Amino acid sequence: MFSRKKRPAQRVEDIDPAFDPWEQSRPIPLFVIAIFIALAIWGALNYVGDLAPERASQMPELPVTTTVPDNAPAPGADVPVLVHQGNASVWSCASCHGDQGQGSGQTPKLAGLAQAYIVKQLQDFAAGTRSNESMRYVATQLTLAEINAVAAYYATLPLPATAAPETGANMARGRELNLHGDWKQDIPACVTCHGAQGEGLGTAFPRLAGQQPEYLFSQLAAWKGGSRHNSPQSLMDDIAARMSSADMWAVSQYFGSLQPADVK
Amino acid sequence: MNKITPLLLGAAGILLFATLMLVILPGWQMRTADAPPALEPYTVQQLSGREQYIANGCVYCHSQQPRATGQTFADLARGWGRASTSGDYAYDSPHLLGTMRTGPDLLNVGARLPSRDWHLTHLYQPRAIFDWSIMPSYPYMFEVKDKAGTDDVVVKLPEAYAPAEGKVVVARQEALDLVAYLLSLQRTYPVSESEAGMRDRGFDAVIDSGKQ
Repeated sequence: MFSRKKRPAQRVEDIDPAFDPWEQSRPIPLFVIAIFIALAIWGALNYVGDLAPERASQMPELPVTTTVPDNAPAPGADVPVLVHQGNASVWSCASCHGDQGQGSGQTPKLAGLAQAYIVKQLQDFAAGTRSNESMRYVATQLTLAEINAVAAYYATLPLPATAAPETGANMARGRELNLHGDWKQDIPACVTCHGAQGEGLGTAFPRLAGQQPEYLFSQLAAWKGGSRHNSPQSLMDDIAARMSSADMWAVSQYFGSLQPADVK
Repeated sequence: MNKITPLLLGAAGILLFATLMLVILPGWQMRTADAPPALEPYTVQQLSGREQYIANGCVYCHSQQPRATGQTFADLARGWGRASTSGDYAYDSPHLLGTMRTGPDLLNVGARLPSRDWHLTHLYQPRAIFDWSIMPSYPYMFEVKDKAGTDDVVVKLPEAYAPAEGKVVVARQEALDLVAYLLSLQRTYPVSESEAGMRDRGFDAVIDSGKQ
């Protein structure tokens, strides 16, 4: 303030007449406005395009396939009617477990399982010691005679061949667990109970060879997680609890890849 | 704001770079991938079932993207199948990956639950099978009739949920279409090496080397 007064401020001729103490307004460049308008139009068109109903004419021609009825093989006299047709409240066995009882994914292969084993599992489903809601639904609505009939049917079915899974399986590890177990983790060898070729033994020890690997894995996980507890003396509960997930998957894939021919 | 042009150019540059790395390059990588030979295109019925899937909001509770065993074994243990790859969605437009898993993953429901009758019962009344289920029932996809016609698909129901006086529940076309679509959800064929390479397999490598 003080110094400003002393400054010779009267030299009007020195002041730049064009000087403006305020920043001049500079218009937004035209091309930026153009981009914004173009984006807005594009967005609006996109939105309208999405609102338009499905343009059926633009859809590619797709092959029309007729659905083939699943119950293709004519049920013989000895095939229980439940297997291919079910009844008024129960779905047919084959609709999930396949026409040859081969299963798929998490649905187990039934062909070649022992009759007593199937009967016990169905009763366990109904009793709740083995948890699966779909199978509990089925098992609670079947009579003992029906359970015996379907179990007998599946026990006599020939084993369908399984395609070897091509995932990066740790087959060597699965084989090692099967033959020798892993005593560092207190895992006994599978062969000691399930048979030299995984063919199963009696009521309690089911066939493993050729079973769906995803099913085997899901059951090991169920034992480990505590949702299945119908193993005699909690055998499998304890063994599975000591197995790592990677080991369970390795051994599941190993047994899934064993062909019926390998067994017999 | 007297440097608006360089600011905008800088922002646009960052956006372009992100678009290039996150959209254009991955898109270009997948453009060269064909649909897996084992994957069938959807039929007309399956496509209209897909419309039902979208219209009824299935995607809000069901995902279609199982995780890799390298990340977790949980999906495999539930029977949801192997980790999906880009080719699995080759005929899906738009894809229905989903973000919520209020219900189970459905990308392999056709392999896990291949029974049409099971699905009809379950759509009509999920509580008939899972007494704890929170899935809505879809009664408007079905019809209660006195007597089933020759072409009608009768829904199998336990006594507790069956209509009274000997009436039957038959599936409308919407239910049959939806089930046809669900049964087509089956991605169990093996994955080619180039397909698998497009996944982030960082987790798998750690697991594998740790297990050697």
